[in-house]
Formats: sequence, C-alpha cells, structure tokens
Amino acid sequence: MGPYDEPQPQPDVPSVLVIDDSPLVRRLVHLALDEEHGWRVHEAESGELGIELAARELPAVILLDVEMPGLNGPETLRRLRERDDTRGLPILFLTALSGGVEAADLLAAGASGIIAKPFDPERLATEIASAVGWAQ
Amino acid sequence: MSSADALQAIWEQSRSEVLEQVEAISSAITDALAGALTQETRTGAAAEAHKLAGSVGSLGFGIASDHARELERALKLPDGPVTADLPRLAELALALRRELETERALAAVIDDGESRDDRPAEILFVATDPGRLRALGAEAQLRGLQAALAGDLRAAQRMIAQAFPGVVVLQLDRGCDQQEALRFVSEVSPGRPVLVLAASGEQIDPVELARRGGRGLLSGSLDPGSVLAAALDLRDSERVAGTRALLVDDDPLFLAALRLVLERAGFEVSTCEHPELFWDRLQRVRPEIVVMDFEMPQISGPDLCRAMRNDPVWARIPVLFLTSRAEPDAVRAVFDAGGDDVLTKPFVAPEVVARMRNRLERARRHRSSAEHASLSAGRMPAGGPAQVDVVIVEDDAVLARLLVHALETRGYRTRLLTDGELAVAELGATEPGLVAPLLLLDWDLPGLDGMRVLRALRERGVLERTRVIMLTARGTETEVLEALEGGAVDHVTKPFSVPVLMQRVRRAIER
Repeated sequence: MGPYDEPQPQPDVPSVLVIDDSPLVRRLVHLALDEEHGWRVHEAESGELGIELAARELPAVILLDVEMPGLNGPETLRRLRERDDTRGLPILFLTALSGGVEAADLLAAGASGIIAKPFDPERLATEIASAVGWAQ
Repeated sequence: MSSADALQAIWEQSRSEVLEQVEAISSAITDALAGALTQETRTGAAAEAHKLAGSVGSLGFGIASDHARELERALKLPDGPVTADLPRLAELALALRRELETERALAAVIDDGESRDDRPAEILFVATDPGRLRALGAEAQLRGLQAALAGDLRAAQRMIAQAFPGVVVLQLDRGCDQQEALRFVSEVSPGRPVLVLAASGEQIDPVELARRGGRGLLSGSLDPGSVLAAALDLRDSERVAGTRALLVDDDPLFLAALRLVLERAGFEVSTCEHPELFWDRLQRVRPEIVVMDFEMPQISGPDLCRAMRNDPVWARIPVLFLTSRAEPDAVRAVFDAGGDDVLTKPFVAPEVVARMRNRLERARRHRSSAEHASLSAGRMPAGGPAQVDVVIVEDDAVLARLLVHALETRGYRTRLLTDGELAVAELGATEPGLVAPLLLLDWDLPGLDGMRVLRALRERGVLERTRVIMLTARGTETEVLEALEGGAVDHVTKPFSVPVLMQRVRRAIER
C-alpha cells in the first residue's frame, strides 16, 4: 500500500513530468495542463532524461509513455521505483494500448494508473486528478 | 490564445513530423508490395504507426488514429503483413495521408464553431495604423488576392502560423520598437520573403535588415497599389516554398547541415544517405530538384545523374552537384553526365539557395514552354513506340506502386508516368513514344490535370486506340459526367477496391 491510497488534496499548482519521445504528445500535454490549467509541466524525451528530471523536480505526478527507444516505459518505471527519492511518486502510463501490452501488466509493474492515448486535451487534467486520487 | 488556436499551433509545429511518420508507414507498405520489406523497416514503421495512433486523435483526427492502429496491428504480426491484406493496407496508408495532409487541425476547426476561409493567405500586411492596414487590405481585395491583416507583431506571428502567407509586408510606423521588428523579420523570413516599409524619418539600418533576412526596404508612404506590386514581385521571384528537394550524400552530417539550410529557405527536403537506395527515394519523393555529392562509395554522382537523364520521367529535373574538388575534370564530368551546376564544399548557404532557385526558375520556364509546344504541335522525337497493356498516370507513389503491383501480378505489362504533361507527350505525339489499349488516368495531377490530359488526348485522336479509365478522389455526379463526356470509358472513385478495379480493367481492355 502506497502513500496515495487516501485521497490527497490536489496541489495548488500541480507539477507534472511527461516522459514521451513524441514531441507532439509533449506539446499536447503542455497545452492541456499548463496553458489551460496553469500546471507546471516538465518534459523529457527519453526514459533516461525522465529519471534525472524526476529526481530533481519530484513532480506531483509522472506521465510515462510505454514504447520509447532506449529505456522503455516499464523499465523506466522499474528504475524510478528502485530509487529512494522517486519511489513514492504517482506514475501514470500514457499509452495507446496495443501491440500485446496489457493494462494489467502495466499496473502489475507498479503504475498508479493508465490514461489512454489519444487523450482528449480538455479532459486530461480531470483524468489525472481522478487516476491519482486527488480530492476534487 | 483560444484552445482552437493552441491546437492549431501545435498542429503547425507537428505536421511535418507527423507526415514523416505517415511516410515511414507508406514506405513499409510500398516495400511489402514489392516483396522487399525488411524486418528493420517493418519494426520502425510499426513504431511510427503506434505513435500516430496515440497522438493525432488528440487533435481531432480520430479516423486517422484508427487507420494508424490498424496498420500498426498488421505490421506487428509475427511474420509481417499478410500478402492478401496488402492492397487494403496500402489503401489505409493512403487514407491516413489524405486525413493528415490537411493544414487545419480538425480539433481547431471544430472548436472554432464558425466557418473559416481555408484558403491560405497570399499576403500578410502588418501595420499599427488601422487606416493604412485597411487601405492595403482593400487594394489586395480589389485584385482578388487573399490577404491577412495584423495590427501588431504578435497577431502577425499567429497569422503566419495559421494562414501561411506567401509574403509578408511589414510597415514600421513611427515609435515602433525596431529591435522587436528586426527580431520578427529574422523569425519569419526563412520560408517567406518580408518586405519592410519604413515611415519617413524612421531610421532603419538596411544592412542589419538584410542580415536578418529582410528582402526589401521601401518608403512607408508608398501607395497601396505599388506596395502590392512590389510584394508580389518579391514573392514570385523567391517562390521555392514547398519545392521538393532530394539531397544525396553519404555523409549524414553534411546532409543534416544542408537540410537545415534548405528547410529554412522553405524547401521540402528529403535526404538519401545511401546512393544504392537513390532510385527508391527518387520514386517516393518525386523531387523537383536534386542536389548530390560528386563522390560516393559504390556509385558516383555523375553515374546516377546519367541514369536519371536516360529516364524520361527524370530527364528534366535539375541536378546540382557538390564537390570538394573544383578541378576542371570534375566539372567536366558533371556537365558530361547532364548535371546542371557545380558547387564546392564547404558550401555557403545563400549561394546554394540562390543557385537552386535559378535552376528551378529555368526548369519552370522550360517546362511551360515545352508544355505549350507539346500541346500546340504534338511533336515528339522519332523512335518506335513502346507497347504496353496499361499506362498509369498517377503522381502518388504509393498508389502508383499498388496499381503496378496489382496489374503486373495479373500479367499486364505496365508503364507508369507521374505527370500529365509527360502523358500527353508520350501518348499523344504524332510519332508516339508509347502505345497502350488502356490508360488509368488520375484526375488530380500537378500541372496538367487529368481532365486536361484527357481533352488533349482526344484532340490528338489517341482515344481511338486507347481507352481511358479516370481515377478520382471526388466522384461527384458532375465530375463523372465530365469525365465520360470527355471521352473516358469508365470512372473509378478513390479509395477503390483493387479487385473491382481489376475487373473494370479487364472489361475495358477486352471490350
């Protein structure tokens, strides 16, 4: 059981780290969260950079792509869970489920939730809040 | 910025990268049709399809997202796509591209909730004085030009992202921030010329302006008619935007550097790092100009050029060479091979762009006079005609490949032509270079479109020996009628079913 089982209040300015190799997806997340809701969005284009940024910024939530060149999503997740400083961060997979990757496997790997791609930019903030269990 | 504008801006930023992903998928399907799909290409294309499926839906392209997902599934099958599915997959890849080639993000259009004029603006006027702005806009309207008007630099930047003006006219009024204006010029000048009008008494450094990419400096009190004329001249003299250039060099670093320079100048750049893949790239990219390295492993630049000159499809495309040895021997070899110009490495960016512009300008002039000559006289060099069963006139490489594959596997001999002008020249000359009982003719060809080709062939009596099936993306009743009245025996709307088209081909040939 992690520290997020009880509803937590949503931070005033939630900070989000999006780890995705697609610039288009990162731009969309930026638009959906920063420009529309004023959240702080950090972006990383690879698992390696994502881990570095996660340790430095300790974001309120991490959005993680599954299929990436280099370190893929599940492996990035595993490494984040191994480190003391990033172990407890809520991590949501942001993925187009297909190609044999099953939602159950991703959750079993330690993800806090899954947001399906393509996502609706207007609903992304709400979906994150509900997946992480922030009290609305 | 409204959410519609923001989505549109994201689409502007991402469109070329999305189209590259589409291209990777199309290439894989094209390779599969040719029986040459490698594991590496397949894996790469599957990854791109996966990315597309997960991203473009957020911009409102739901159908494209579904198509990408289906393509991803087929590419990820353990043994690759099933051969029997290939025609359908090719149609999906084409449909995917059609969906995404649009300049407006669907989500932005839907969000706007109002109808917009989708025509890109030909000219953008930027001025802080509303009266002057209105006068310039009215002048453009009077001449039937689509103009966009911006009251400040921020609005101008937004409009450039939305309306793709071919030329920008920036009026510097008294009291405007010159540094900001110069910054604006540097940001927008790659890809489109900027003409600056300075109010009298407004000091602007012409050297600095030119350094930032400004292309002209005129008096701010010039009458609107003259401003418009100057702007259009400027635009026409520099029109390279969207010109497809193919760069061939075995040095990836050099390719990347040249790509950057040419993209900033507005070219649509494709590169080829492996000269042995040159023909494949050539077919796919259909470049309007080629820049190639003189010396490459396996095959030399002049050899490639000579081979291009022997193929009527590529014979007239300008080819420029880059060489690190500007010796007379090398220069002679280039011209002997049919090359158009030689540049030495390391290259100077403006010089490369200027020389490419010159070659394109000459090629365009040559083409329009050739078109005129071929239409009025219908003459072709002598030589016996080649005889095939089906001539395909189609500029879309994937679709063309699909048609060639479908026909050849059914035993038909085919010849592919990628533009209408060439089709008229080959089939319609007094001594034709090509004879066939059937012609599959795309309606939407660049330059001479399918209907004009059909009319030209009819005038030359070609339809007496060749039946024509028109292929169109539209298929409205008027168009079907126009095609049939124009002399076509049949009409097929894209996307079409290959087996059905093959039935119609058989019927048309046997009739």
